[in-house]
Amino acid sequence: MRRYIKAFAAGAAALVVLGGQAFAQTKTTVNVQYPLGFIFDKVFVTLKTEFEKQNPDITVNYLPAYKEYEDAAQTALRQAITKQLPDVALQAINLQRLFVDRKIAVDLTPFIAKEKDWQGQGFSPSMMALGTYGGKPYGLAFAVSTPIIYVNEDLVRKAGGDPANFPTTWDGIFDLAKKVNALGNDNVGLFYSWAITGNWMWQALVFSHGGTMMSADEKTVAFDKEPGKKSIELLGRMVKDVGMPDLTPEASRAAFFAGKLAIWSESTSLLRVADDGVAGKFKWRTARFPVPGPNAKLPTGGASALMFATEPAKQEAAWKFMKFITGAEGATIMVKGTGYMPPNSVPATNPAMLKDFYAEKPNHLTSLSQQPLMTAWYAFPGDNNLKIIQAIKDRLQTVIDKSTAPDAALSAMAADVTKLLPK
Amino acid sequence: MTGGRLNVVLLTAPAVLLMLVFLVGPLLCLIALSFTDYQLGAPSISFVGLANYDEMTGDDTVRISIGNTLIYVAIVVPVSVALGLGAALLIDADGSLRGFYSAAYFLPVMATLIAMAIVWGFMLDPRIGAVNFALKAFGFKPLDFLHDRKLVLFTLCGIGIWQSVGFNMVLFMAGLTAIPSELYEAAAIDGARRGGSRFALVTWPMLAPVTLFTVVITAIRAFQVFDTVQVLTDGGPNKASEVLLHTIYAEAFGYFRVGYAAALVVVFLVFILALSAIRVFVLDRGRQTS
Repeated sequence: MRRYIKAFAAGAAALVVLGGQAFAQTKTTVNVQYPLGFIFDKVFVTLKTEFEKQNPDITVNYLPAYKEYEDAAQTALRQAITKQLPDVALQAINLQRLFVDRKIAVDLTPFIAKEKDWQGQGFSPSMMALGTYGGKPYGLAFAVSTPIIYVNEDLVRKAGGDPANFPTTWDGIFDLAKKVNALGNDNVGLFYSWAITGNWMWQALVFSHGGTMMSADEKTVAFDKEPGKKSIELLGRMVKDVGMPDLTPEASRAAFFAGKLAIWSESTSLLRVADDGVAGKFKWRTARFPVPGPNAKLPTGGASALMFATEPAKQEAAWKFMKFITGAEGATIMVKGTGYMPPNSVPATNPAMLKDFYAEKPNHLTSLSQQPLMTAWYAFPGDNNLKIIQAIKDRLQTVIDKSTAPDAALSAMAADVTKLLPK
Repeated sequence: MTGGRLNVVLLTAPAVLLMLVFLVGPLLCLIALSFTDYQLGAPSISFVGLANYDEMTGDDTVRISIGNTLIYVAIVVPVSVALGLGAALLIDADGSLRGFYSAAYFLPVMATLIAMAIVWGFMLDPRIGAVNFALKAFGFKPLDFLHDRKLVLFTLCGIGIWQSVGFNMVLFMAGLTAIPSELYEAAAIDGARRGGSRFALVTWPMLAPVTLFTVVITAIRAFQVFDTVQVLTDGGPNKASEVLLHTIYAEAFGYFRVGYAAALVVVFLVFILALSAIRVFVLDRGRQTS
C-alpha cells in the first residue's frame, strides 16, 4: 500500500512540474511599472484587460506605482543596480536620457524594423522624436501634456468675472484672483502649481516669456536672463500681491475639488481626476496658459514607455505591450481616462476613437490648441540632472514662502545650477 | 613559548579577520570613494582629489543639515537623559507597579520607529490629528507641526525624546540596582535622611559613569536621526528639518552622487568618533581613579 502511495505522490509531483513548465512556456509575464497612480491607475487596469484579451499568451503584471517622475527615475536606477528592473517602465519624457546614458534602456530599432507600416500605425516622426537619442529610438511617447488653467466658473462669476472671456494675461488673472480673495469665506483666488515634478511649471513660465533654461551650446545657465527675471517676479507677485497660499499638491487639488479655489494653473493631465473630484458640484472650464513673450513656448510634459527587459522572449512580449499602449487603441483608452494628449496621430482624426470624444469634452481641447507652442521639457546635461531639479525647486520654495526676494532667489538659483553643471 | 604566540595568533585570527572584512575594509573603501566622482550604477569612476570636500564647504544644504543635526542633538540629549533619570528614580522608589511602569516607558524603544513615525504623522496632522484636536479643545490655535519651518525641527526633537527616554531609563535603572544599599544606610547614619541629600550625596555620584555612558550613547543615536525625517518631512519644508544622515541618503540614493555622499559620511564619522573617544578616554580614566 505504502509503495503505491509513494508512486502516486511521485507521479503527481511530476505532473505538477510538467504542467508548470508547459504553463511557463505558453504564458509570458511582462512586469510593468508606471508613475502617478492617482492619474494612471484606472487607465492601466483597462489597458491590461484589453491587451490580455488580444494577447492571451501574455500576462501583464504591475509593480507598485512610482510616486512621481523623479521618484520613478530614482527607483528605476536603484532597481538597475539590484537587478529588479521591470520589463517596461513609464518614465518622464525629460528623464529618459538617464536610462539611455547608463545603457539601461533597450534600443528599439530592431523591433521597429520588423513592423509593417510603422508610420501608418500613427507613430509619426514628431512622436518618435520625443524618445530618440543619438539618432536611435528608445522611448515610445505614451502621454503628453501642456500646462493649462482650471477655472471655477461659479466663483469667478461671483467675483464679477466672465468665465467665457477669461483673462489671457497674468495681470488680468491676478486682478480676478484678488476679487475672489475679497469674497472671504476661505475662498482662494489663485494657485500656481509651482512644485510640479521636473521644474515643469518654472520652465513653463520662462519658456512662455520666450526664454530658455540654458544657452544654445548648453554651457551656461540662461534662465537668469530677462524672461527668467519676469518669471520669478510673477511668482513673487503671486504670493505677495495675490496672497497665493503655499499648498501641497494634494491640498491644492482638494481645494479646487471643494469649490474653494477659483483659478488653478496645472497640467492638462488632471482633467479626468478633476472631473471625478468636482463631480458636478459646480461648473468649471479650462483656459489657455498665458504666453506673454515673443517666441513663447510651453514645455511638453508627460511619460514615455522604455524597455528594460533583456531576454529575447521577455523583450518580444514587452514590445507588444509598449506598442499597444502607445498605439492608436491604447492612446484612445489613455486620453479618455486622463487629460493627456495622445502622441499617436491616428485617434484624434478617427471619429470612432477620439474625434467624437473631443467634440463632447471641450475642456480637453485647450491643451490641443496649445500644440503649436510645444517644445521639449528641458533636461539639464550631465550626471547631476536630478540634483539640479531639486536645487531649482529649493530656490523656488524660498520665493513661495516669502523668505527670499525673487531676484535674489533667481541669482542664487543660477549660482547653484552653475556649480552642478558638467565642468 | 612560540606555541603560546602561535595560539594567540590563531585564537585572535577569526576576530581580527572579521574586523578587517566588516569594519576596516569598508571604511577604507568609503574613504577612497570620497576622493572620486563615482555615480551609483555608472560604468566609469575617476579620481577627483579633494573636490568633494571642497564642494561641501560651499554647500548650503550641508551647512543647514549639520546645524540642524547639532540643534537636534543639543535638545534631545539633555532632555531625554534628564527625563530618563527622573523616570528611573520614580519607578525605583515605588516597588508595587515597577514592572508596569518600566514596560510602559520601554515600549517606544521596542516599537519600530518607522511605524511609530507614521502614527505621529497622523496624530500631528493639522486638520484631523489628535494633538491639534486637544489644542483646539483647550482654546489654542491649531499648529502645523510638520510643515511649519519654525516648528518642524522641534517636533522631531519631541519624537526623538519620546523614543529615547525609555532606553535611558533602563540604563539608569540598571545603574541604580548596582548601588549598594549599605551606602544609603551609612549616609542615613551620617544624617542624610531626606531624598534630596540622599540623591546628591549617594545616587548621583554613583551614577556618574552610567550617566556619561547614557549621554554618549544618546548623542550617537541622536546624530543618527533619520527614520522620522524620512517618513514625516523628507527634510522639508525648505530644508528646515534636513539632517546629516538624510542629506547623505538623498545624495547617494536620490541623486546617485556616491562620491560626494561618501565624503559626507567621512564627516559624519568624525563626529561619531569624537563622541566615542570621549566615552573611551573619560570612562577609562574614571575607572582608574575610582
